[in-house]
Amino acid sequence: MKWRKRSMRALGPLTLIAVAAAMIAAFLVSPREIVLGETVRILYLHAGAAWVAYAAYGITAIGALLFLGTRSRRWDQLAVAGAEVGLVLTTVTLVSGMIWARAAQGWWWQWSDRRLTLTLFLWLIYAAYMIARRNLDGSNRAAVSAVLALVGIPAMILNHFATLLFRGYHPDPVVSRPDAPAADASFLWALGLSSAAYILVFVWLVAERARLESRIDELAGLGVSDPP
Amino acid sequence: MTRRPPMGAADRGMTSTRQTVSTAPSAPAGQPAGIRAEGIDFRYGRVLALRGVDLVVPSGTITSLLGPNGAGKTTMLWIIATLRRPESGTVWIDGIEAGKSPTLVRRKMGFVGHRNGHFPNLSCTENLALFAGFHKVPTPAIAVEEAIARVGLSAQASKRASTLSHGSARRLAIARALLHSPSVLVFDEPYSGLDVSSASALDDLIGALASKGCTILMATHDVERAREISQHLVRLDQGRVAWSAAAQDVDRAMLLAGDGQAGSGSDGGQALSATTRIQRGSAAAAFGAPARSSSAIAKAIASSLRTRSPVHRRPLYPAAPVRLHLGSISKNAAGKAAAARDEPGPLLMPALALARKDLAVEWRARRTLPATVVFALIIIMLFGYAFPSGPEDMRDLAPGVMWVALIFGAMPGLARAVYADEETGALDSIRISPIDRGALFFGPWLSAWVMSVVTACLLIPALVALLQVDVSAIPSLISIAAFGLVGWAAAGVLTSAMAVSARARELLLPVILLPLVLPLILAAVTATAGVLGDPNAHVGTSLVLVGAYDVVFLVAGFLLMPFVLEA
Repeated sequence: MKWRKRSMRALGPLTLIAVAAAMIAAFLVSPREIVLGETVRILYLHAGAAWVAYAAYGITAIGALLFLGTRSRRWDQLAVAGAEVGLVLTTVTLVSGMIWARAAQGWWWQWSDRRLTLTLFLWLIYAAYMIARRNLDGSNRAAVSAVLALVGIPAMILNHFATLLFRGYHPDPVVSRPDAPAADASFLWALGLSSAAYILVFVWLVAERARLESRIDELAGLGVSDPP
Repeated sequence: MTRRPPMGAADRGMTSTRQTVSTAPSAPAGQPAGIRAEGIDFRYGRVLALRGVDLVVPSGTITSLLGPNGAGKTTMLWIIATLRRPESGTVWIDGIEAGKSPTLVRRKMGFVGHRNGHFPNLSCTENLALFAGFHKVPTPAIAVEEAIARVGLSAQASKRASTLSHGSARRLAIARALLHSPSVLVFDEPYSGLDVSSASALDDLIGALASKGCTILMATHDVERAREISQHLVRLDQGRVAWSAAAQDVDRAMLLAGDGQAGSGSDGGQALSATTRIQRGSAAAAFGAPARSSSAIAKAIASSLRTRSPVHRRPLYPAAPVRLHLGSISKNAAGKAAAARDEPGPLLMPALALARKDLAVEWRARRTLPATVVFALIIIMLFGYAFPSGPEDMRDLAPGVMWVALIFGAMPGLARAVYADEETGALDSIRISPIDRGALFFGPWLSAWVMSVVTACLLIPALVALLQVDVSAIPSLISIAAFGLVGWAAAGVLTSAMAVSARARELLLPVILLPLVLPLILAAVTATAGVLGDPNAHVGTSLVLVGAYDVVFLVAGFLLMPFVLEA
């Protein structure tokens, strides 16, 4: 698979360029927002991370499902790669969201904020997944963590509805609205660029992490080391 | 040596109805009866425990699996007994592919693990009756009585298994394995803990079973005995077949001296005859399976070995005194098996039996329930002191306190829902039974739910008094608790099974369970607040959510439990 190797090799530099461009756009090029002021720049970090964190969970769940169906270890490797990257991105989402909320709304945390609590919930599921993997070293580690990733989905959906029982404080969507995005084009393109950078970071990290996991498995199979 | 009468001597009165196993479809064309495993790889975490193991045990013969600790013997037996799924490779039992038709295979399989695998708080009779039910043994009462008599435990039949001596407990495990007249028996260290006479009686029993056509594979460190009673010996080392040979071809002194040498790979041939040496690397070669690196010479020697290792080569196992009524087991090699499809085992009856067992054990031992109730009361007390407030505020806190107390109070008990059976090995005994895997979820779920509801019934009146809630709310609170605990018990049993094999299971369980029950707590607390008169709480919506949670986690538990327990 030469093309695959080549595209993987190109992905790293491409990602770095995209991240640099997104940072320049977010911190130097994008204008101040009238109401939010400089804090608008946090949102370039926040929104992309949140979207990609949900996608990462999707990757983990798909990997988990395919592992249980096929028992092929490469799906487990994909699942753990998605979960690890997802955990990092969810942490970025939570922390950046809290900083923004403190600056813009005066509080760090609101329990009645649906998306805030749902993101924390997602983070907890990721954390539980990673802790489960650390504590399981038997033959069923992959299967048990796959089951956990899968039961997380209905739990997350139910949690979404359960939090509806409370009134939410999270700002209404700006980009994904039924009509047109409620933001000026100068903000939207910077947001688009940061999201593209996030997607590249995500794909790159997941691919590399999955490759690393498979190398660790290979080493363990050869018995040449005591893998982590 | 004083020999105990053969264990089978008490078996004479058995009826022919116990031949059900023999009616199961057997070897299809191309797949001989007996045990056959090809290319088995298995991994613990990242570490490969078995690497390309081939093994063939012809029908009606005894094969012993030798090798040092950690060689992979037990893992190999687990895979053959359908307790573990190999990463790659295939197992056939009497021609039936274990991966595709595990329930059919479990009907044919008797398994004694290195743990005895019974329920310590049930009597010998109750233990066997439970498994007789799982195997749908006709006339179970008679079968149980005979099985107990066969292993010489009649005098102790009504004793709790936990009070048996090690040797008696071992015999009970053997009785359980023979209860349904299996055509294939897998023993892991069957002699450990047996006294001399019991061990020699087991020799007789194993020989008699083999002479009736039963295929026997056992792992043992007793190389002398293995050589005495087996037709074939297979040595595993570091997850690979080091060598395999007909027992009479293995030099005794060298086998004893070279249990390490033979497996060392460098000069293990010293321990073996020249013929045997060529079988290195594949047990299949000795018994007619296609050797992976087959050469004409190896084939020729394999063929000569076959002729030199007759199935019943010694008159050690006279068939006459032991009538085991195994009938035509594994002799009906022809037939329908090619088209054999796995049929799911029964679900409802085993689930109810497992729940009844859990509740009976709890009733006798009374370990979990009192601890749960007291623990929940302590939580309520902590809330009372941690949030010092007036009666009005306490009423506001009541819904949350009730659910936190119920959930945290039940958690330690729930942690044992599956683990209690795992630590005795009983979970393996259940998993080897031909029952629907869903029963392994619904049984513990039902008992966990009943126990949680009983806890709620005891706790809620106390909570009403302590938190100054209106007494008339007690029935509604108990109803809501019972409704919400359905989903809680379902999520709890599933995660408890997930944590069972973890290193720090007591840490892992809350970490994986509590995030999953968050939506339930949110909805159930809202519904409870509504019942207690909070005008802002949407009782209807909350109850719908609680119901949805119950259904989702019952379905998830039913669908996913097999993956958790069979990996």
